Amino acid sequence: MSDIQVAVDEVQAGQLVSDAQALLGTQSRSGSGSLGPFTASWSASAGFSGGSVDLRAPDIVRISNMNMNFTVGIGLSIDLNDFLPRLCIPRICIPIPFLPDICTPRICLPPWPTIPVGPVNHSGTVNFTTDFRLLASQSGSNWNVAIQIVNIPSLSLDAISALIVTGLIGAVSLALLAVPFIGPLLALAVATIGAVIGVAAVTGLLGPILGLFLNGLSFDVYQQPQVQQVLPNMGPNDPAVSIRISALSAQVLVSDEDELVLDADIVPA
Amino acid sequence: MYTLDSRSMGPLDCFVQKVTEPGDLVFEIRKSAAGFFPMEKDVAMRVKVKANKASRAQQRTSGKQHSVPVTYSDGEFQAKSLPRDLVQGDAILFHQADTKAPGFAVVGQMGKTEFSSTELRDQVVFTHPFGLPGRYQWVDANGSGVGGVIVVENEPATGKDGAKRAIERMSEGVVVHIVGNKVKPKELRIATGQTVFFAVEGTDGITITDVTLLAKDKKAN
Repeated sequence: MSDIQVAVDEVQAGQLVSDAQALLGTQSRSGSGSLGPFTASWSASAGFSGGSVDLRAPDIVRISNMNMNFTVGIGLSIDLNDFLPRLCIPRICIPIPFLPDICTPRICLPPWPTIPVGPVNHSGTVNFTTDFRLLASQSGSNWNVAIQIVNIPSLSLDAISALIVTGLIGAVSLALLAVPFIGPLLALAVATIGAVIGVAAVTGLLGPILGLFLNGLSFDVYQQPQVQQVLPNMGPNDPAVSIRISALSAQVLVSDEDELVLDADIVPA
Repeated sequence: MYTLDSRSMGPLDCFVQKVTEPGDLVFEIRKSAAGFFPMEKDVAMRVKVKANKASRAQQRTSGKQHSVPVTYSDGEFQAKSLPRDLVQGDAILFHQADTKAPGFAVVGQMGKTEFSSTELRDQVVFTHPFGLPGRYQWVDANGSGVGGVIVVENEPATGKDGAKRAIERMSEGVVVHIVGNKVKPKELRIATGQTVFFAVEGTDGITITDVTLLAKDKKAN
């Protein structure tokens, strides 16, 4: 039997999670990854909100319909020589008023440039349901109770990826417009490059990016100092009284309603 | 490389001079910044031009083209090979293909007549392909008032064989004929990648220069 027991129901546990989400705030990451045949550089930030809590014995907090609100910027470089043939202006012969015929030589253009595309920024929300496990631990002079993600959920990203694909292809088209002599090959270039920046390619990049924010995700739902004063100093012969939480455990107990229960043992400090 | 300026020719441009005088044709190929320097005849390249008994009018509508490929190495431009059997009434085309070379200019003299790519005077052609869509206003940087407009548009190249059709269009040249201070046509509409042949006659020495470059020149000064 523990010295102190604290219990909250699912509604109150939901409030603890909501506060913990706000406390965690927005996280930022950046890196690079494969976008089809390209290497894309990216930066992303994400925060969490919402969700309904379902407490499951013995130590699981299931959060349904939690929102991951994210912003991602994706930029890439495209070496056009990987897609387009070397272009040469053919020999042109034409009569001039003072020459019966004049012919320019075949003039080959320099290799195509490598064009920067983006970054294309997209903000969105992805909704998921997953289980978190209760963990009680000492951290410095505090006791912490956190919930830590058990499995990274599968995210449904295709609709978001489709929007990003549209943005990327728009950015590719814009970048191509500035390339000299691409005019005759513009439609071909957009179509060819667009074909390899598909939804699957973007999902293949976006999934691991968002996964980084979910991997090891934990929310601190409860934090207390190990040593706490319970009675103040009342006089020269009546000093302050403090206790130390010597042990703390967290679990889900199922009775007539599901509860998140903290059991604490205390000793005089 | 892609700018329109006959004063500084790039690997996409060509310069053609009709050889109107017999005797020695002397020329130098230089970095464009030195285009206005006097010619050093003792180090210039020299070609013999045979006299043509045909009348000037006949010579105007006849003549063969000779090409002078230009190379760039050790900071100097050189003619790779000089034309032989040059006859009065023929034309010489200069082109250098090195995309890493700086802009170049051709200056020369045939008989007493001087010619230069930096000052297009008589029976001379400057060619330039346009690589980007837009409205290009060209002027004579020497201030004669001669000028015109080239409107370049991306041709729709979609559908079956669209790119092929658009590339074939690149082989169709268009002539702008400048006689004195008259330009015909004053405004021209072409597809991206097409080459314009500026054929110049009877001027005091003009340039074909994108007007936006002159604005930059003024700012630089």
